[in-house]
Amino acid sequence: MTRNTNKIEFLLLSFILLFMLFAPFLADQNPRDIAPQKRLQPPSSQHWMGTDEFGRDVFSRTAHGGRTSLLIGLAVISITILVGTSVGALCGWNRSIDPYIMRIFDGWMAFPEIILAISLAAVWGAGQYVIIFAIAFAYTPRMARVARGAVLNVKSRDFVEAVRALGAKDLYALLRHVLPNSLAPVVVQATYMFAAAILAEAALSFLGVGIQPPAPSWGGMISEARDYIPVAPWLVLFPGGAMFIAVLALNLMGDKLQDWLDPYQEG
Amino acid sequence: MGQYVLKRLLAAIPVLAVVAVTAFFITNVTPGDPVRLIVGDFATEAEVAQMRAKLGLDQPLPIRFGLWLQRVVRGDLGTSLFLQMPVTHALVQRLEPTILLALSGQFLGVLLGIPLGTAAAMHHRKLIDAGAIVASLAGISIPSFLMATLLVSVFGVQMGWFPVAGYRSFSEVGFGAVYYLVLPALTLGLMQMAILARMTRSAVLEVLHQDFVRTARAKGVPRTSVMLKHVLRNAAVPIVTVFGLSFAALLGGTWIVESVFAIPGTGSLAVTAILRRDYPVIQGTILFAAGIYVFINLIIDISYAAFDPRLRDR
Repeated sequence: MTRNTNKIEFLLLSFILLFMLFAPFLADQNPRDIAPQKRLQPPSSQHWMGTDEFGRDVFSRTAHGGRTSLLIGLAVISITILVGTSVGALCGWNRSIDPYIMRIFDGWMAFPEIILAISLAAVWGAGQYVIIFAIAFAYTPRMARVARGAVLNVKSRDFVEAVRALGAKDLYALLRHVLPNSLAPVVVQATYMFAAAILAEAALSFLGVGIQPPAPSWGGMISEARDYIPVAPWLVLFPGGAMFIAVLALNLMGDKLQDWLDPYQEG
Repeated sequence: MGQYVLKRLLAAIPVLAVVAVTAFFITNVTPGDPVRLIVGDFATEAEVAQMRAKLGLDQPLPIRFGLWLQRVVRGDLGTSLFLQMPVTHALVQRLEPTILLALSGQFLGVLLGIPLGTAAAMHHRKLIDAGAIVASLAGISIPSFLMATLLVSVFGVQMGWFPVAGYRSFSEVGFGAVYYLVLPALTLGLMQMAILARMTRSAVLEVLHQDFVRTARAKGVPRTSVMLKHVLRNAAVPIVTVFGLSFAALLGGTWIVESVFAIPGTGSLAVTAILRRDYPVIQGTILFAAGIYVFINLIIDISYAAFDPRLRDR
């Protein structure tokens, strides 16, 4: 691919990030304000993305919903990076605990992620923190796997042997030399997980166990809009399009980071 | 070979044990009191206590786990709180639509995804490759419920080619069942295509860069037979691995696609149970999904021996 595509995803991503940070200021209408006399209006200069079945401003709802999605995604990857990398790195470093923890992760990962997240969110009761916990719980073992593989790989390199020959203590060698050199795959994985977490939150909200209406969320908006598609397609197209672009940008970014950070792998 | 299969089978045991523990604790370590949720706000203390005893929730947690595990091993997943039938019956009743949907979705995904991924790798950095990358990236970036919603509104509502939702079994309407299956299967198929194409592409690319491929080309073996005899055979193990891993997305996908299309399968059974907090059914369906996943990947692990002769001697 050409160098131009390099810029596209950065542009897309920074545009989305800025949009989400500042959109609530641009969208001055309250996302929960109901105006029955203005229901199902097509996009206009007053309502850039039209209005929904309660006359609420779709632009404002898309912007606020996106902000929630983004924050949940960020929280999820922060937890998975922190917990997953620590546990994974320990497993890669200390071979005596490794087989036990890996067997646990194998069983844990036998649950399809989205199924695990939906069930947890359902049983624990919907709420922002529960959603974050549920999605992070589903993705942590996968992150641990990636970190473990990276640590195992770096551990066998010559410079680690050199550091240890120079008398570096175990923990020092791990934290100061091995871990920083193992972070590339973790960063790549985190980017993909960010995208996956946004999709998972949307699926949860779509099914009714995520963000609860009337609070705006992309998944919830699409779920509510399904009955109105023939008369008001903008109700699905705008939140759906926003989500698609956000997730696509993150996935593109993941691909690009992978090519960048892993010069040995062709393709 | 026999030893290899035995080793794989034994390795599945701890995995299944963790699956059981996780499924149990997900539905048993909960904030709030499920009993009060079930009996409602107006129940008397006696009714609460009675329901608690009926569900066995008055026992300490480890004992409950032991009793539960005993029942599960015997194939008893408990009784649904709403359906008035054992969870296993409910699952068996709803198995057919899920199997049909999952198989046709995965079939479409393999049919489209693996050739697409292979073609992309063969024409690395050419137009086909770029097209495949874009298509598969788009596929993994659209959530299944949005894809389903869009397909329904175009081919169901606008064009009116296919039913908007619902399901008819083959025994009921014969070949007409396909008609109901097209849109849901297409939703799943396109998602699986995206995953499979992406992973197949990188698996084939990796093999294409190996020395033996260059050697084969250099000694004058025609391109197609290099592809068929050397590249694809060696890419088979990673591709089969991907096939197994993609089942996780497929099983998760059936939960969502079945609820969007109102298909009476195990996925919509699970989602309905979730919405009304039917704990035994939630537990049963997630255990079922994880069990299927472990089973499929066990079969795939064993099938490696067929693709990779080195494994047979171990």
